[in-house]
Amino acid sequence: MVRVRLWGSLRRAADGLEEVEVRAGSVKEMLDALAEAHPGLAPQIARGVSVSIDGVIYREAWFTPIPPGAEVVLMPYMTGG
Amino acid sequence: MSLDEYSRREFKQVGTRPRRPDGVDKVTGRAMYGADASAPGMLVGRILRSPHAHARIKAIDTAAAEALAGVKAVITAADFGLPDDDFTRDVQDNCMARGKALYDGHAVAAVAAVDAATAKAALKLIRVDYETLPHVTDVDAAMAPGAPVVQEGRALENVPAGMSANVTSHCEFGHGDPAAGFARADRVIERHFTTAATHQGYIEPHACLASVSADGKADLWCCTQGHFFVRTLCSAILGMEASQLRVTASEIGGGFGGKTTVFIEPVALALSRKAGRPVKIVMSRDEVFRATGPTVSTSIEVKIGMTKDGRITAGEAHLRYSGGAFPCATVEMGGQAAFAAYDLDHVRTYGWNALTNRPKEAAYRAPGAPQAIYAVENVIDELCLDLGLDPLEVRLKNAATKGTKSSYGPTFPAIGLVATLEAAKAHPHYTAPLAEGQGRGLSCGFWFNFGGNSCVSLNVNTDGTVGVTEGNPDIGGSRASISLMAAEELGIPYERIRTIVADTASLGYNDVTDGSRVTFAVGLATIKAARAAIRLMCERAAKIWGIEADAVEWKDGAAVPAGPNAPADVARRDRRGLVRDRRPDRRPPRGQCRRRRRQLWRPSGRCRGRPRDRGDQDPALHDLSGCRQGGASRLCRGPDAGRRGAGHRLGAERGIYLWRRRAVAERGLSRLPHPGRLGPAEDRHGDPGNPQSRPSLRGARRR
Amino acid sequence: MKSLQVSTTINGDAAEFLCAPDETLLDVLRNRLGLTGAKEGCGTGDCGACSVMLNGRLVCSCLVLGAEAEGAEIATIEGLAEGDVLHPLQQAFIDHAALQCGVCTPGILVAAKALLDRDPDPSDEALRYWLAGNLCRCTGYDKIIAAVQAAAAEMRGARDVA
Ligand code: FES
Ligand code: FES
Repeated sequence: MVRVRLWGSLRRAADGLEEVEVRAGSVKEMLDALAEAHPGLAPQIARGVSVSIDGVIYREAWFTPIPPGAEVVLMPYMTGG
Repeated sequence: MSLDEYSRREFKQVGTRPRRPDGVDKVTGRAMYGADASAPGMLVGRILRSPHAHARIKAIDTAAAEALAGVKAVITAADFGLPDDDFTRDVQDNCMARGKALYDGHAVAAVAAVDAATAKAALKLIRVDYETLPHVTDVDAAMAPGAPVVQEGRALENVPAGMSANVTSHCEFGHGDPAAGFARADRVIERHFTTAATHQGYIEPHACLASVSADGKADLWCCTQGHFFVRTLCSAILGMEASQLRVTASEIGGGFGGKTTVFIEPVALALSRKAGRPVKIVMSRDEVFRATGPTVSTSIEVKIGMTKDGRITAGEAHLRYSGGAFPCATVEMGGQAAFAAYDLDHVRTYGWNALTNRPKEAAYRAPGAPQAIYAVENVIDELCLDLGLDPLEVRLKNAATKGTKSSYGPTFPAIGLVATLEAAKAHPHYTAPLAEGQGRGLSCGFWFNFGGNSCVSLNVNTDGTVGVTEGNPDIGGSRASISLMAAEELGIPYERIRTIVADTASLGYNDVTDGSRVTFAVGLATIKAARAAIRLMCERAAKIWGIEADAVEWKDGAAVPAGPNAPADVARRDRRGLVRDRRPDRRPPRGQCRRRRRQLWRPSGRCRGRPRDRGDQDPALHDLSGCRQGGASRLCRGPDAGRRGAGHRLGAERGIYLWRRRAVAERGLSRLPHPGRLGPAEDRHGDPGNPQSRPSLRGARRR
Repeated sequence: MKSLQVSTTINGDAAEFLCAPDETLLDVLRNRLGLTGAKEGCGTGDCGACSVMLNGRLVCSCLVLGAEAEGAEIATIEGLAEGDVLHPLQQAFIDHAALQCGVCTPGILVAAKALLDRDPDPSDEALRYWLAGNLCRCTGYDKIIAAVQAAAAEMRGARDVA
């Protein structure tokens, strides 16, 4: 299981939970499981999110494995200048 | 081979200060920027812009302009389709207003004519029937009830009902209970700040040259921070397949984030398609300021509590950003970055984006972060003044460090802020006496790093020099950085490497040059490509020497036999120049010089049976002859061959290997093997359809 | 509008061109003569990217009409190096990393040379005043000033030896 931390405004879409648990081995599996378990998160996931795994931020890295016990945090899709 | 783990290492090249590869072109005026391109038969494109901040476009009459001699095409929004994803549609609508002009300077029509004077005259002949509408340019006014509505129905699902229709998104970050934190503070200060939609102000205005031919193939030359993204946007807007649009990035005269999107490129392509001739559009400075992306304008409240000894007990910020007339997510960056420099128990940021009748925001140096940080740092400074505390000590005391739970969620790895502050403290400037009228300021800041998709092709040339092809426009000298990293990995001099930025048809997809990602992410791809090249060359060297692959290692730019498996005498024999000439007529006749033959073709003492035949059946020789540059006979003939012994030195006078490989740097993305890009021998011997025979970047060929 | 015929000298070579009466010298150089070294950053005399020499005077070529070049001597960035030998200013800009994107660089080099031609040993202050009309968004002006001073010192040295 992966514990995923949600940012504040997403919690409303996930029954007020700050952290949700899903069964997933990779970033894509995690996002799919999140959208399925909490349909309210689906629009944001479709628009794009970044994922922090143990402090390293990934963008569009669907197949990145999520190690057991990793700290996983959902973040808005990052852009820069 | 994980690149994620940092290990301390002595660098030979990284950290040196070589001459930048683009220097001479730039000091001689030879470097080609966006506006410097031209094409035979090229037309001049010009854009008509709305004089109103907000107006319904009831009709556009282009007949008179079209009738003017020398005018070859006139376009309006009607010449574009309607992309179904919001993002692309917004980009398109910003390039050419559809239905409403949303800000002063919004494009409403464009012409292509034989010269600038004719184009200008044609713009004057276009009649636009506007119905002016009330406008709003201030973010707070836009969020107030009853404000003029810039666009209807753009609010995301996260906006609570009942807000102004201009509010498009809401976000919230943080942890803990700020109210409890404020209760513990000795002093709480709350302040309000506004920042303007300042422009990036690059010296080079946007410019592009588009050429669409009758068969639908198109070329686009433009100044941009990301030509692959330009291809994505333009092909979507023009309804083209990406493969048919080749985008070449010119040298770029500054971007600062502002050239991460398109403003004129789709217009030039549409004009060129209609006119059947190349069309060049160069913005004037006035157009740049009126119609390209500045940063967000903001209105921010920050509240911070502090104890007498300088510990921040809580921080809270309300961020209201406007990215102009189109929805924009920049406030999310501000919300995450505002307090990220500090280790806080109680922190919360609330962000809102609202539409205003201003140009569409474009990224600008850590988009959204400096505004929020500016507000936070001001309040911290005021608290320091109030409490009589040293602003640097207070920041040290609260600095985020390894293990801090950041204000946006993740736990920080080592981030270097404390070390930076200590260095500032130790710097003479921090204590230098101030003259009359001088001041000294201090601020922390924060930005993320997110890697991104990167593709690099690294080729060992026929003379042993190296070409690196990358796909990110070089804004600040990244070609030099990339060359340095390749030189470091390969162990050859920087001067023997040339890094170029390739067009979109020549390389896999690259994300935009943004977010300070290029040196990091493209650097990783380059390092991977260099290591893959080394592995391949070592394997080939092993085949040539008839020894195991793991008995060859790469040292100082050369493959050398090494390890317990390496036959001790390979190096010695090669130093004597024995592995030299494989041409049959030069070969020592059989029987006459058996010992030498054995040394030539059986370097490994562990070799069984007959000396290995070096005939045409030997794959290793196929490899070499594939180079058509002397092939095997030149193997150790480089200037260094004698001195370096068994080394296959890059930069030797004849090429040994032809190698191409691409690497995808987004850590965790699947590696993309590319059989079609390998040297000739692999093409013949590998079966691209069989995954087992496909080389991967991780040494599958070693199996 | 009828085109005008203009005869001039550019970087020592005779040049003739046709231009519209309202066409700027910058447009003529870039669009008619293929000398794209001078850049247009503003078109209003604010940024200095278009700097060229006109009869020994430093001008913003975006503010000069092509027609005004009749009989004039024009020097542009393309004429600064001698063959493949860079001018000391050019070399110093590379050595001192006094450029980043480089779009302001041609104008700054032309302007700096104009100053050093009249004052081989300018103070930093004089140099900053002189280059105040040349905007650089990337590099930061300190490196530019350092590079010009280094080139000035080298040119003085060469002169003393000669
Ligand atoms: S283009 Fe002439 S001064 Fe800016
Ligand atoms: S180097 Fe970019 S404007 Fe000066």
